[in-house]
This record gives sequence, C-alpha cells and structure tokens, in this order.
Amino acid sequence: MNRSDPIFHIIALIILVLVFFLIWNFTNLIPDAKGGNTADRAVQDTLSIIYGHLYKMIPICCVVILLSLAVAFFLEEWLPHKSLQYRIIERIIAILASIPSLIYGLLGIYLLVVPADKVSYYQLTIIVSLLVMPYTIQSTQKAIQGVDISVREAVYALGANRWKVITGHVFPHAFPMISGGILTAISRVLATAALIIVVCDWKIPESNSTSSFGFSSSVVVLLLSALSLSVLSSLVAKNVNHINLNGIV
Amino acid sequence: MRQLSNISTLHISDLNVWYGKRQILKNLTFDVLANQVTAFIGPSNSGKTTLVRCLNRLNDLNTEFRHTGEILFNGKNLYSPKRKASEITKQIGMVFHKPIPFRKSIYDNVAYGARMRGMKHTAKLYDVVEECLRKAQLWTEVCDNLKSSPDILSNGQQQRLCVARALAGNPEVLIFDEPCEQLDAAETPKFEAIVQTLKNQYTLIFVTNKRRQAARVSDVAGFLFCGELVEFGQTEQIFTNPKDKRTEDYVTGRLG
Repeated sequence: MNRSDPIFHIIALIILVLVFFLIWNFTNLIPDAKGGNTADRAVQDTLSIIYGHLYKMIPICCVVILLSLAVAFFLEEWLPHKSLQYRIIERIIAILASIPSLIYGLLGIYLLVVPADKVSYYQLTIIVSLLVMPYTIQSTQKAIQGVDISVREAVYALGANRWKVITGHVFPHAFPMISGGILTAISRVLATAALIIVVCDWKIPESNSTSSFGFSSSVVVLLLSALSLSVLSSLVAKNVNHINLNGIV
Repeated sequence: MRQLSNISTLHISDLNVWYGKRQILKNLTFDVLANQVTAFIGPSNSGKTTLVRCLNRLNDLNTEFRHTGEILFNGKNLYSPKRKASEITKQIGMVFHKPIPFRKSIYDNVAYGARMRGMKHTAKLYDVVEECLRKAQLWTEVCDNLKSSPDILSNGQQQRLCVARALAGNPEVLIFDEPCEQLDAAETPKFEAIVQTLKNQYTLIFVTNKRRQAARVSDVAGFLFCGELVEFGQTEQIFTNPKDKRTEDYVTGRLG
C-alpha cells in the first residue's frame, strides 16, 4: 500500500481523537482548586489560545499564500528557466524548504518573540512567511510544471494571450495540486506550533491560564487540525490522480 | 486534375532555425499557396514540426528558439516586432498530433474557438458551433450530446472536435501536425475526407510521416531531411518523378 494513502492519515486521526478524549476524561477526574471543572477550564483555555491566534493567523496566512502563488507563477510563467535569477531564487527556495519547520519556529521565538516579549503582527508574519512560503512556492511550481505542455500549446494555438492561458487553463488545471500544497503548508505550521509548545512549554501571551492541561489539549488540537488538513490534502492529491487518469485536459 | 491556385499565402525565404546552439532548419525557401494542401514529409527529427511551429509563431514559447530569414504572411512579415504572436495564431490555426479537448463540454470546446475571436452573442455562437461541427463531420454524432464532456467521444471524434474548435476561430490557414498519428484505420479516411473538403475554404498545411497519406491528401509536397528541404513541388511529381536521389529513396521506402 502506498505510504501516502489517506487511510494512514485517517487511522492517525482516529488515534489522536481517542487520545484527546482520554485527556479530557482524565482532567474531568481532577477537581479544580477553585471548585470548577478542570476539563472545562482546559477546553476554555485551548479555545481562547486558538481564537487568540486565529484572528491574527488567518489574514497573515492569506497574504503569505497569495504572495507565494504570485512568486511561483512569476518564476514559472515569466522568468526564463535558464536565467541566472531563476536559478538563484529556485536554489534559495529549495534551501529554505529543506530546513525543518521546527528550526524556523525556535528561531522565531528566540530571535523575535523572546526579546520583544510580545508577538506582533510583523514578527508573526515573518515566522509564518518562513514556514509557509518556501513549501507553498515549491508545491505551486510543481503543480504548474505538471500542467501538460500540450494544453498550453492548444490554447495558444487558438490565439490566447499569456494571461488567458494562465487564468483560464494553467491555474484551473494546477488548482487541486496547489490547494493540496497550501493545506500541507498550513498543517506544517500547526504541527510546528504544537511541537514548539511541547518543546518550550511556551506560554502564549493571549492566554491567562497557567494550566498545563490547557497546553496539552492545545497541542492535541493543533495536531488534530494539522492531521485533518493533511488528510484533506491527501484526498485532494488522490482526486488529482483521478483527473489525470481520465485523459481529458 | 484540380486547377492549382497561384496566390501565395505564406512566403518563406532562407529560413534557418536554432534551438540553443543546435540548428534544426537550414536555408528553407518555399511558398504555401492559397486553398491547397501543402504536405511536409520526412523521417522523424527532420524538422517538420519545427517548421510548422515557425509558421504560427508557436515556437515563441521556446526560450531557446532563434531564427534568421523571412516569413511573409499575406505579404507582411510574420515576425515583425509590431505583430503579436496571439494575433498570428488567430489567423493560422493548428491541430496537434494528439487530440487535446479542454475540460469543458463539447459545445464549449468549439465555442471557445469562436470566443477567442471576440464572439459573445449566444445565438450566433450556437450557429458557429453547429457550422464548425458540420465542417468537421461531427455534428450528426454529437448534436444530442452537446453539453456532455468530450470524454464520451472516441479518439478520432475528439480529434475532429479539435478541428471544429480550430475552425471556430475562423483561421485563414490551418496546420495539421501529424493529426492521424493516434487514429485507428477506420478514423483516418474520415479525417482525410475532412481535409479534402476544407481545402476549398482554407489554406492547409499537413505534416505527416506516412508517405501514402501525403500522396493522398496533398496538392504540393515538400521532403524534409535533416533540416533541409530536399525537394518541394507538386505531389504527383514528388512521388512519381523525384529529382533528388534522397527523395526517391524516401518515397520508395529505402530511406527512413
């Protein structure tokens, strides 16, 4: 069976859901010092942590992804592949994409967040850009390269200009793979965030909670979200293969 | 015998083409006359496809493409900096060696060609689609399934759909680049019949490496070998009384 088969992701997801509920049930058994339910507080903490970051992360991710798409299309559609600029930019992106995402996360914390003791939009954008951009650019480039050259030629032969070819044919053909790449990149960010919380026991500024259950469950939630996106991207990739098998371009 | 036209649509003189440092075509000079089928024959890698891609500027997509010489289309330089490649391809259409239907319905595939020349009126579009499908001898087979995907069609039908789409762009010249390469024995005669009917309205250029097919469909033929246009003349003369030894060897099957 293929390693990338979505079934593995689904099994992993089920296991993690079970782990999540076990943690929840375990925290239910521990009475809170203030008399409340520890599990409820843990969930509340987690939700506030996620909400506190989502409202910052979503617009930043959107901007970074759009920028990544623009860079990828510029590289593939405008810059000659044998030019010096293309080779240099491609090398830089390849190096950045090959660095483990945890390194970016740790670098982000120690170089940007810790000295300032506060996460600003500017710092978050830099960290997310480093995490998302190289991978998204690379996957988008591969998606664009995957569009059959005969499709482009057939459209050009009808008198289309470059813009029509890109918007009307290259992008729709590459879209499933591009969206798969974006989902994988975001799931990478979420998984990195989970790892960093575990490694550093990092207290997220938006949270007032000191409960370790809050952090454990936030790690699980982040990993669950990462895996869900991974499953989704695998399903998208499977859909791409199905389309290619049809033979219609 | 059909009276041949003497109006030159395309005039090619001293055409040399390179991809990077490799020279593909060497000093080609010939005329493509209006309302005729001009066939280019030759073994693989002789430069046939490169030549026809020069004629509709599809080679512009290749960043390594470089050429010298002159190509005149209706008396005007095809490679003039003022002329956009997309304007040329609207006038010189192309059908490729494999069928390339778009991921749209049969109707939209053909309408796409018409829309490329700015046609937007739905009723007129329908008429154009019907007319082009009739010219491509596909109308009776697909008239009830216009909204279906082209994947319900056979390979040969898909290739005829591509012809209809190219015709919807209303080109003056239509290039066929080995169009029967992937067609079966039953579909090839149908395709050749379409070519014969289209030559009354369009100037056709037909690339093939099937000698007998070239003899059947063309009025004028050129034999390309290693990037050189060895011989160019009326098809009958090329196949029955070739002047060059290499042409004779090719048409008799001793070469290639």
